[in-house]
Amino acid sequence: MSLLFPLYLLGLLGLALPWLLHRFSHHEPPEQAFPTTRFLDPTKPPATSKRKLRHWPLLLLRILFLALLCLLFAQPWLKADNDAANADAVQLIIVDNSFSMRAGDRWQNARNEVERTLQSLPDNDAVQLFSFASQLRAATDIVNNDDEVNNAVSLIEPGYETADYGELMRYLNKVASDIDMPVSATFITDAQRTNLPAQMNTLLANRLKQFTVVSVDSTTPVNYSLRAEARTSDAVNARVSVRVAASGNSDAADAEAVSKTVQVIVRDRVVASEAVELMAGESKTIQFDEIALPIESEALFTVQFAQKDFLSDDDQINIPVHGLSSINVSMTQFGDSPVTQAQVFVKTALETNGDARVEILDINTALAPTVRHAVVFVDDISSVPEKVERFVLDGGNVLLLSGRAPENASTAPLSDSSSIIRIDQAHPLGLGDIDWFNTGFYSTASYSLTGDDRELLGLDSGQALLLERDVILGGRLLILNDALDGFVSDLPLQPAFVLLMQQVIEYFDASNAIPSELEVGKSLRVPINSQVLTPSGDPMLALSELSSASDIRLTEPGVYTVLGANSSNSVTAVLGFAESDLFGLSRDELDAWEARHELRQESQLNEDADQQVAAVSVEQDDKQTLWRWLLPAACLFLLIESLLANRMLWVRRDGL
Amino acid sequence: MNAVAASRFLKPELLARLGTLELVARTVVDGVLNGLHRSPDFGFSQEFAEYRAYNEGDDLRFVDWNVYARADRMYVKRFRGETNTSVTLLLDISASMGFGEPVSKLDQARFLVASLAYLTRRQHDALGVALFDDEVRHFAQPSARPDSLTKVLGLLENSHVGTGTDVVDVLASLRATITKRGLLVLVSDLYTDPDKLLSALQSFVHAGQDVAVFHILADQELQPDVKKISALKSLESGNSVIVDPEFLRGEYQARLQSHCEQLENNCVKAGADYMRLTTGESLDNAIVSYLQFRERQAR
Repeated sequence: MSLLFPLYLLGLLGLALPWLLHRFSHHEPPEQAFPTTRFLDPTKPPATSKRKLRHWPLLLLRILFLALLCLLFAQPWLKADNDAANADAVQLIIVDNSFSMRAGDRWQNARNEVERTLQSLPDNDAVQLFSFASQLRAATDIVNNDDEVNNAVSLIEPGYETADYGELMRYLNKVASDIDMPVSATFITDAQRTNLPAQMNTLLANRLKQFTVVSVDSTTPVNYSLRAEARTSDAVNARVSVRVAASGNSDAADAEAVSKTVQVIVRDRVVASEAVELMAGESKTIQFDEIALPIESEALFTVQFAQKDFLSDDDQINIPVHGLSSINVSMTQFGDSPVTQAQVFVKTALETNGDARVEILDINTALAPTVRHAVVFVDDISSVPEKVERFVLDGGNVLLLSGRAPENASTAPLSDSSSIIRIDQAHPLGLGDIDWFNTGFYSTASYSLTGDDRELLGLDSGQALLLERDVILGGRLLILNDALDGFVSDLPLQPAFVLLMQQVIEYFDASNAIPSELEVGKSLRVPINSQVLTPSGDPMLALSELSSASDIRLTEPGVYTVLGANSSNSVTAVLGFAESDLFGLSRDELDAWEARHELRQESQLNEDADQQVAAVSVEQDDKQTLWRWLLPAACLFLLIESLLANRMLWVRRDGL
Repeated sequence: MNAVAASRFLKPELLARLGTLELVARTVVDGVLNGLHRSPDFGFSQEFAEYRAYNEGDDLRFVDWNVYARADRMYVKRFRGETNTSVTLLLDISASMGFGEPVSKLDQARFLVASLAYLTRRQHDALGVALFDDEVRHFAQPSARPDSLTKVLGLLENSHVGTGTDVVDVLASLRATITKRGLLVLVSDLYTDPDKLLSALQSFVHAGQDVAVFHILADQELQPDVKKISALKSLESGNSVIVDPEFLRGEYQARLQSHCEQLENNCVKAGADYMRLTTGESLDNAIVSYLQFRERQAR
């Protein structure tokens, strides 16, 4: 049994208090009324002067209760039964099973190293085996049995995730802090340079007594990897962009260019190919235009190297075609005079990259309930029409535009223009990323902000240009204070306008925002009532999990499908570029990494350890707290003491 | 007095719930008399008792002239009761009389005094009362007026325990007040010197008074319920004495018994009637004893 706060045991000194009270208390006999004392003789005092302890059971209960109270504050706990109890130290063996360990014979080397490490350990040391890719996972408990560790190693396979050595050290620190004896760690890895953390000072686990890195990488060959994206704007032809990268050190003297052939395959047929020459450490982007889409709407393109290298899993990628399903936007006008010119500007800007398709409705035509996004022109943006309000409350998204120029627009001098000076950088629209240079505003309608309005863009004239009205439990309502006729402002003529319109549509469509691409090992946030299919088509969520939003970790590369009630989205899980770069750390660098722990041991072992291990959770809890037993026992003692003391009414609470 | 009749009487704790003392007195006295199946007017009615030869000095009004005419001798007629007797009830209300649960000695004494008062008025005797602790707190001269019973019961109803007790001094002070010959009934727990009580009672007896003493004791007083060493605090003096339960079971009871016997002997010596009554007993024995005492005095 160990104690978390042993200093509280000093409270046991207080046990003497009830003993003293019972031992030396001055006991007054109870008083009773009597008619007369004339026939009474006082009782003679006891012949012995030795004081007697009175009320033994009560004294015992009080002492036990105080002792239990002290123990409770000291927080005792028992170590769960494991082999560590009899060991001198605990050796942690961590095997790197990130994606790069699939290269060549690295994984087999790692297994051999585990066996070699086990043989070299002292007999009295207990061992625990972990695997580490993006997270640290315990493969065994703390054991003294080498066979158990060897069996566990044979069950581990390298995955597709990306390792971060800084994260590894934080996890190790947490594990070591939970073990109440000296802990050493041996990390068996291919020691990729790209797995180093951004901050090198995180490569330290203070709680470890010793840290050893065993590198299984004897050679650092150049590895070639690719990523690709396919997009269509007309649902007939697609454009495939491929980024090809070669790992390694480009400064090497013997570096020479290697020719790699990139192929685009649709339905098992090579539809395009191109050769590219790459030096070590170089990356290039090549583009395949006008690749005819197959008739099936959910076709996948496969992009690969014609010749596979020794890490073949990153030589091929399956990609869906983006742009096949565009966002439908309805455009209408509530007012007197048609504003055809502004509608053309908006429609052109929205349909530029093919993500949106705009349908222009007749003037004063109500918005259909099936429409989710709309651009609405009104005569006066100060008063939102009731139809628009209802549409937004039903969950629709509206960009409200001024359909009529201000009355003084024709007389305003062209030289006197306003520009955008206030930008809400925190808004998800990302307005700060847009270049508003050269955008002038000559005449802007006066608009008074209400309490529900949030100004997103503001002019130096003091007027608000773009604002969002807060709608509780509804869709989104953006108001653009510009007639978009090309006269009152330069806005529709500037490139910033196209970006603004596209950002607005993306913002409107964010409710269904599912990323098109995620790195393997990351989590995908799945909306309510949506199912996720693996690349092989198997459902990942049980029926009971569909009713709530959940996070799903993508563990293998490929195209995952998110099936919603009305939509289907593809998410491509791609391999991290960091894992494809197999260039390793030198032995000197690894020695320096190990030496940091030795230096740390000599100077100050446990400084700031608690702060560093905070917020790191590893599912390895071998402590059994005794609170659950001690607390009811203390309560029971208190109850019995109370009953006894009440029964013996002449016994005072203070023991007198 | 038979045992069957006595069993019909009410226990003191039941009497305590009857409410007024008058109701208590009626309940007790009527119960006793119904049980005896006899008239209560022993010796104090105008009932003829006997003839006695005339002596010099006898009142000529009581000479039976009819007998003289026939027998030529003078005889005097004797009646059981020729005149009303004066009855004075002395009730001790000292602090020690407040002892006892659930019926205190004072409660029991008040029941007794009320019953005797009711009985006295039923026999058309003059009724007086004195309440005392270490001195006389209330005194009503014996009176044959119809409201005397109400007056006495009123005093009893409003009586509360006082302070210390000094029966001998009180009797000495009453000696000068109670001059008319009659009955004197003392109801007390008698925590006093028996010898001094003897001389005090003798002074009344010598003055022609018929004296009856009712010694009231509580059950808890006779057999104290004390299981561990306790400080017993006197109700009158306030002094505490730490005593052992063993002492209370042995020596104390012997001393009390001896005191009671001494009191009884001294009462007999003084020519007074002695009756002991505990708070757990019903009042029938006491009433019967009183009636017998009256009967004896009447002969």
